[in-house]
Amino acid sequence: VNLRTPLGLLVALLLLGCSVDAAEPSPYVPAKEESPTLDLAGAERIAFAADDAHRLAYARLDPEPLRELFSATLQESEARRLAGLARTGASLEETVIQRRVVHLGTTAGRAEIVLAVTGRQRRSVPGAASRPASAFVRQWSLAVVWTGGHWLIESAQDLPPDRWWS
Amino acid sequence: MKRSRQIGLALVLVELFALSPGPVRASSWGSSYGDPPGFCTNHSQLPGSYGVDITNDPLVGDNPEQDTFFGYHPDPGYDDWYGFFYGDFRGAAADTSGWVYLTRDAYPAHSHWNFADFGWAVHGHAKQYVAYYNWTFGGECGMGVYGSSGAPPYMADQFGTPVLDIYVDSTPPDVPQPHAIAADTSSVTFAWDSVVDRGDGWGIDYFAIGMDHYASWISIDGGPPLQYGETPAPRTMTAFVGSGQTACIHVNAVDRLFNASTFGVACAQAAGPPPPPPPPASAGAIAANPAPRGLVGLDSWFWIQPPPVAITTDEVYQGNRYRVISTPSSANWGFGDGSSAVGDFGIAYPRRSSVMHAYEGWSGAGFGVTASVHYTLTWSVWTGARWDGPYGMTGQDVATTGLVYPVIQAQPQVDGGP
Repeated sequence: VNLRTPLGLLVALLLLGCSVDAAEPSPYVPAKEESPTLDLAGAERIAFAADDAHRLAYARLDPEPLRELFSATLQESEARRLAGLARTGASLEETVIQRRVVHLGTTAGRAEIVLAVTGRQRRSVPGAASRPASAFVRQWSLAVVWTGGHWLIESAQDLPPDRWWS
Repeated sequence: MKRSRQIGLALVLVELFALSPGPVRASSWGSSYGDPPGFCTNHSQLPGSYGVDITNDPLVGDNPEQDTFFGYHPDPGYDDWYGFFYGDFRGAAADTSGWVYLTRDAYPAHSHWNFADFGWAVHGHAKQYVAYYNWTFGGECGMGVYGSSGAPPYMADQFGTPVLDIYVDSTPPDVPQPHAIAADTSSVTFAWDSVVDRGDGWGIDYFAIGMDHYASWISIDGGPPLQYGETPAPRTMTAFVGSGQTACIHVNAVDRLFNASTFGVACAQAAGPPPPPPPPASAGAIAANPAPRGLVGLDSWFWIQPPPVAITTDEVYQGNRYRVISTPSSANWGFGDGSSAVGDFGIAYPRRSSVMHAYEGWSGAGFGVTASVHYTLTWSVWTGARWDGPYGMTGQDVATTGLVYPVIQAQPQVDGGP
């Protein structure tokens, strides 16, 4: 096994894990937590909450609202973007007119939710002339995983129209 | 050994080719446009910072990149920002801008750029790449040499949305064309056909967001909106109106980005009597027996030939479909000797006619016999499901072709005996 390659390292770790198990069987095996399967109502609850949190974060230029629902990696990425905007003070005000879950793909402990949102938005920059609002439509795809007893958004992306769900 | 050296050389060449600025390649993010030559994603958050913007604003007022132009680097003390654009962003489809200079921002200031600053507008689809020019650390993505300003890459914006697919539909759907589909004497029913959303842009950049709903209502004699509704599909609407009132339907089409067509309007009244159809040119001709002349004191029989029959006329009036039936009901007879009668149309010889007259005097030149047929008119209107009616309307009198009828004195004649 070549430990300098990722594959070699993985094989070595697996072997190590097996040998430890064989040498010292645990007297107590905790019951494995059953991962739930997300239903439509739950998906809607998560997607709406995520949408609200995301909107609030970009209105306030503060990643704090993302803390509960978004993974650490995603929070970090959003925080960088928010920090960039915060340097200019440019914020985004959105008014939602309609939103609904248009796709839900589930397996135990994992789900893909696509939320369609229609509304109006306006970017504002301190000191700049008021900009007119424009209409937007988006389909926001969320990859959700069951982690530590609750659902967490692992990744989020806007889908281009050719990948929209009807 | 030789073979492994060849493979090694090939790998180096492949790597050099992959890292060198080159012609436009297939995109790594989003739509198939791009990526532009010299675009380096090191230090950026791509692919996580790839974005999609779908809007009704050709000036892309919600462009997430418009306020993210910073002077990042104290050395050389400013940053130059460049953009590379594909698609329909300045009036032509499938356009390519090349790398264009956008702004220079002194450290640590920031500035704004958006399409309107170049007099540009997006129609349909465009793809935007935004990068700062790498003065400071050449060698990124294998382009150029560290410390050299030769062939520096265009570095993807680190904080904003360096790659953005923009889809603009600012064109409203077609205008719906409502029309009355039915009416009776107290209501009018309207409908319209579905329309399609008209998209924006041309060719491969054409983009249509799709229909959302129709907004429709009815007004009566210019009054306030009644029965307002937003429906995903056309509907039928019935207005109840009094005599002489005009009902109008107003309907527009709205797409999913709230681009709204102008209102299509159609007006109609409850069905009233239509204009009468033109009467027949002639209701027939008068025939008599005995013929060609009558005898004083002897009944002459008269009839109209051919006998008048009912006539059905279909017409469209004020958007409604009407059926008018003209039924011959009686005839006014004049026998030319000052006497007249109202009766039927007579019966053709050899049967005994119901119209008879005995002349008391003779006329070698003939009596002018006349008859006019009276038609009773009724109208019905199509409600869309049935004929509503019949309702009466003013009748019509139609003249027949008259007859000059000589009448002679019968001559007594004595036959000789055997």
